[in-house]
Amino acid sequence: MDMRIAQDIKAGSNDLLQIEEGSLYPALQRLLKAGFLKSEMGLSARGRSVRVFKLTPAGRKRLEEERSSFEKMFAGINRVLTVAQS
Amino acid sequence: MQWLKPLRRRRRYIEISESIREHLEEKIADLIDDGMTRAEAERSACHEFGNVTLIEERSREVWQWSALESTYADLGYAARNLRKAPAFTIACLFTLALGIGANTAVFSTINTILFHPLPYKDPSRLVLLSESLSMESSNDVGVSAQEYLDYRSQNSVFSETAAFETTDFNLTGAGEPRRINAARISASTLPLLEVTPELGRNFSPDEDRYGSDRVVLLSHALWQSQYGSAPDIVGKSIRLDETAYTVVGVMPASFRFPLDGAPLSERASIWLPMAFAPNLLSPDNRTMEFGIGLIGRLKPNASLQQAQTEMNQIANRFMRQYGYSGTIRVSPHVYLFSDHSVERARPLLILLATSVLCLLLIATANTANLLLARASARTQEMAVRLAIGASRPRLIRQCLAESSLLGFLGSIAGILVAILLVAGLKHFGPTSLPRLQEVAIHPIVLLFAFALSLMTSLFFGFAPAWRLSRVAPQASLRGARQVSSDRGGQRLQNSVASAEIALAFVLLIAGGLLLHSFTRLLESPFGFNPQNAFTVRTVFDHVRYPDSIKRDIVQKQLLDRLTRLPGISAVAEASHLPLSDTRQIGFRLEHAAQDDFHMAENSLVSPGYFHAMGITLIAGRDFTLDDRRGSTPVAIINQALNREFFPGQNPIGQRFHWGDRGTFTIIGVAGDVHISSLDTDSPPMIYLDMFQIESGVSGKTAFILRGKAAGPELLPAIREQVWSVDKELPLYEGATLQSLISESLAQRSFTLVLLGAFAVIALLLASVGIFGVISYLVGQRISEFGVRMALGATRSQITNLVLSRGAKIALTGCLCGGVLSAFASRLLLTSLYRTDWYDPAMLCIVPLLLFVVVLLASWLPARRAAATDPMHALRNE
Repeated sequence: MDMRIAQDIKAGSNDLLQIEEGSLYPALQRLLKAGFLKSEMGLSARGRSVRVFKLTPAGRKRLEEERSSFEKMFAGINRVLTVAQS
Repeated sequence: MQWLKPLRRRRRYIEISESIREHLEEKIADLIDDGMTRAEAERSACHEFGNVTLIEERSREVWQWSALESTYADLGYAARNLRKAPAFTIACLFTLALGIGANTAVFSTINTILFHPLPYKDPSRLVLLSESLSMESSNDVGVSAQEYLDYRSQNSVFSETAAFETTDFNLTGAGEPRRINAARISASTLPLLEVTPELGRNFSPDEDRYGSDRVVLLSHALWQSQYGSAPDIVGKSIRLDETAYTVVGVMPASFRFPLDGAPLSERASIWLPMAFAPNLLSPDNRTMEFGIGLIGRLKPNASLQQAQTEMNQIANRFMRQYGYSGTIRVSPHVYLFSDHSVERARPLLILLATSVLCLLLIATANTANLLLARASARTQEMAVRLAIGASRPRLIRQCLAESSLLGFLGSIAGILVAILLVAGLKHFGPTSLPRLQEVAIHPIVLLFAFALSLMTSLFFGFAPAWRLSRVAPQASLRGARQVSSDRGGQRLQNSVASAEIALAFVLLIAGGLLLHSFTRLLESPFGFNPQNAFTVRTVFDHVRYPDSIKRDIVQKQLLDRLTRLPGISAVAEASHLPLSDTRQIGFRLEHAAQDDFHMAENSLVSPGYFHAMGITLIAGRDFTLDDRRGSTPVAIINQALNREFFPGQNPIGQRFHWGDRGTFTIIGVAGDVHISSLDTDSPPMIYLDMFQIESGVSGKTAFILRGKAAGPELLPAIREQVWSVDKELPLYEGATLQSLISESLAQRSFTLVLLGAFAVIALLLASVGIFGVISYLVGQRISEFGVRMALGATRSQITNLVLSRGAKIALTGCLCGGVLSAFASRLLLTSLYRTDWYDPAMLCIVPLLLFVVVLLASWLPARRAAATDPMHALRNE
């Protein structure tokens, strides 16, 4: 049920990030294979029965790691840019 | 649950497809809600989603061991594709199988014969020393006993030296009397070769002395066949030429010294100590007898060149010291021992290797052309696949998978062909090829075949794959033929086809020249009549027949009995037969200088020999029973000796000296006979009367029986007659004179057959290649032909157009082939008999033949081109 994922990315980033919907699929399969996601049957917004992807505990942990490392990097870049500006 | 994996994976794949479908449906439903029509919504959803097939494939790949599995899938696809194009597949496999099979077989043979290491420690350090007399006809006479001792004591390059000599014996007292080959070897031989007996011990240096040398080493084969592998054979006694010898050991089966390359029938069965006889060591007899082989092991820091230099110095020293002069001067030659044993086979093998490589090149070119042609036929398929999202590397990979699968299958087929060829080679090959029976397909050669085949197909698969992956999808899909953009490819194919023709040209010329030389050889007179004549050998050894008079009586008695056999018209005896064995004696003409010696072939014969052999007596008379021991020694010479020594004179009545055996008067001149082989001219020859002259070879004799009944069937009757006189006489080497000729021709006819077969295969492959190229061309230009015909071209004009393309290829090929064969025929020169490498007849016939074949191969596609329906072709345009 990744149609929502693509839409959420688009909406959540104020239309700044747009991705081709199809390109999510190989990425999702990789996460499934690594055990960060699990798929199960659920209901869509329109009430159809569809596959939904949920984070596993391992996935959640990895997300936290990635986010903190991304934030650190982002903070670093930000600082460098600020110094460069002044 | 590893084995369940594919099942689970299948479920996973279904899930991927389904979630994509769900995704699209949800999206479409959303868009319809937004007010689109269903059709608009579907298009827009797909557009936003991207390439569904590609994304599915990418998602599936996540679950695969990607490289391995996609390769597996590619191979499966390739196999299906190949099955769908059986003509192409069979043509390719046939080509590869022939090319690879022939190469594997020939290189296995070469590997065994030329590169097989001798079963001795460090065989590359072993050298052989042999002398030639300054007379050109006497190469490699070996060394004399005293010279051996000089070389042995004065050299500084060898860590050890040894002497050997081949001989033979009558083995009696163990079943039927047998003639066996033997070698005398000095006690230093086995330590030098670093070989030890598998049973018992080597001779001691004490036993290598005249008088105490009655000891013998048995070959593994003789120990097995004659003594039932008895473990207690050491210490037992066996009878050789009526003399008891003590067995001191048994040699391992791999030990074949000194004739390592010889066929089974010539290998030594026993080894005895060298033990030089005292008369050989007396200073007067220094040059009385040569024929001793000297083998040395080079010291670690010594080179072959150094050895040669030092041997020259030693020889010069002893020649000065002992006054060698005139024609008796010697020059030593040092060879690698391993080279010596295969020397005669080398030119043949090099010839075979060269021609089989030509064949391989043709096969490779053919495969390349077939792959190129197939690639162009698949342009459209590839365009479709590119259009629906296949990536270029993916397409290249798939094409390569197909060609490497072809290569793999081709090499398997090639190895099967090689196994068949090697079996055929062992069966039909000439026995003169050393180690032929041991030829096996060596793993290295096998690996070479595999690598060769894979490289061929990968290399030649890559070019079309690259081109295919770069087709412009729209153009191809629209059906437009890419005639203009494909010029380069066509030129490539044309030149590959021309190269095939050129190589086939070379092989055909070579085959033709060999055939020509072979017929020349058969047409040249043998000098004797090979029809209706049978020979069989025996030996009256000196121990059993110490008295020559008594031996004469028995021999004459035997001749008499054999003449009375039904269907036999003439019987005679000779110590040496043409084309089977030779012996030389040194002679000096009466009134010539003391050191003016010359060599001549020699045979001791009985009266009636020339009649029984069918040799013409040109002048003078034959030996008669009046020429007996004690009467004036007489001799018959051949025409070659007459031409060389008595030009313009009457040779009858002239006289010559032969060592201390006396002065001989020439009483007749006999016709020339080929002695060592049919392709060498008859050397000077002296026949002596066996009932008048005693020599080292007296007693060793061959019976020649001529008549309607002469043949192998007569052997039992002959044996009965011989054994009724003496039961201990061995009878061996029964053969017709005809078989001596065919044996002497065996290597030539073998080369001829093999090269002929290569030439025919080359022609066949080249015609397949031409057919492929022209068919491809026609396929490419079919709509052009339609246009031409619509504009008024006749069918025959179209046919000519296609045929002329074939003719152009043939012309280029023949021109290149002509130049190539001018170089290649020089390789053949040593194998040609009175045939010039430049043969005008051959240079006319071969191009003509190639043109006919090329035109035939282009004929079928040309007819297809001419049968084009212009309307059909134009409609496609």
